[in-house]
Amino acid sequence: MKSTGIPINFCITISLGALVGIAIAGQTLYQFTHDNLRYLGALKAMGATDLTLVRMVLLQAIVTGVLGFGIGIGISGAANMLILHFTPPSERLAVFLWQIMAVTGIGMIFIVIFASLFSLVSVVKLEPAVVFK
Amino acid sequence: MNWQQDNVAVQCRGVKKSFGQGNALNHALAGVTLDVFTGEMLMLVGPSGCGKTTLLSVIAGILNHDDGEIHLFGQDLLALGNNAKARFRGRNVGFAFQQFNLLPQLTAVENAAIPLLVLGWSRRKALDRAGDFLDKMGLGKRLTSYPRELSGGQQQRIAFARALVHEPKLVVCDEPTSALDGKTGEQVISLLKTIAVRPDRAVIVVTHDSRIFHFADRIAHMEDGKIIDTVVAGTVLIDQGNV
Repeated sequence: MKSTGIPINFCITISLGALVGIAIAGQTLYQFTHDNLRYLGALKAMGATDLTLVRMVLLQAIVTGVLGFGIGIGISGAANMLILHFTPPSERLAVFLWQIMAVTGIGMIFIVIFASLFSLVSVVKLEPAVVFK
Repeated sequence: MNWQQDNVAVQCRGVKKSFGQGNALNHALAGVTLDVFTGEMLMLVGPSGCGKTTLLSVIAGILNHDDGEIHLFGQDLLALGNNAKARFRGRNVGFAFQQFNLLPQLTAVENAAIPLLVLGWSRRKALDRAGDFLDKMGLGKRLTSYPRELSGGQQQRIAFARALVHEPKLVVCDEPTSALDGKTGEQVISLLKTIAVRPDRAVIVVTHDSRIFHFADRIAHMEDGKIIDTVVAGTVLIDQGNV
């Protein structure tokens, strides 16, 4: 920890990964919302409240986030098992603690919420009259 | 003024709506006064840009007007907040859009059931009811088809089923035949007239398709954001090229 820059580099990499994740997830979710504005407007015109549409967007974001989390944890777990299998006990450094999964899960929720913010704002501000344009 | 009258669905008094600012200010509605009665199909006609769709939007409660009064079955629309207005629309207004706006990921019966699901019906009951409506529309064998598998006329009939499934008191249609050929357009409007028009319901159709004018009970002519006259259909000779 004190002799090399590895921990700092590691933290920087994780932070960058989180930022990129937020950006890509946010862009994808916003693009989906933008592409489907007419349909969301139609739902609003037909009586869906802002809360209903917000819940729809959040549900999509959460399902996507959970899927990604599951796949990521699965791949990481499999990689960890492979490493442990081929590493002598005295040299094993890879550690896959439940705390890591928990922190990653919390990070996923954080990314999902932030990534969906722009979409949520555009859905709430959407005028249902857009369906008649 | 008594806004609650038995056979009056919509009352507009001096309704104004503008868009833009400064030199780009456009008075889409310049003081519209209009009554729509239950039991009739009223067609709003006029040249492009005269304010037909804007008027339809403010009547249906999906666009706020700037001035004047609009009452839908006695309810002042501006007195409602956004969510209350959404719930009011959900119960009382049915929409048929120009481009159908059917959700491509849902089947015909799921699309038709949307208004009921929005109102909180269980999925099973909503689908059963929507299936009955689609059967009335002649689509009983296409319940599980997706919109992309259906013709324009069939998609419009799904849209009409969606507009009627929750038994609204007002049905608004924006250019319902513009995406259809002449024969299909006449067929769907005839179906709408047969199924939708009832003593306790009003139907407003915005159109510039003169081929369907004869289905109207009344025709309201708009120009430059105002209603210039309303005529009972059939009392004037309608020149197809120049209404």
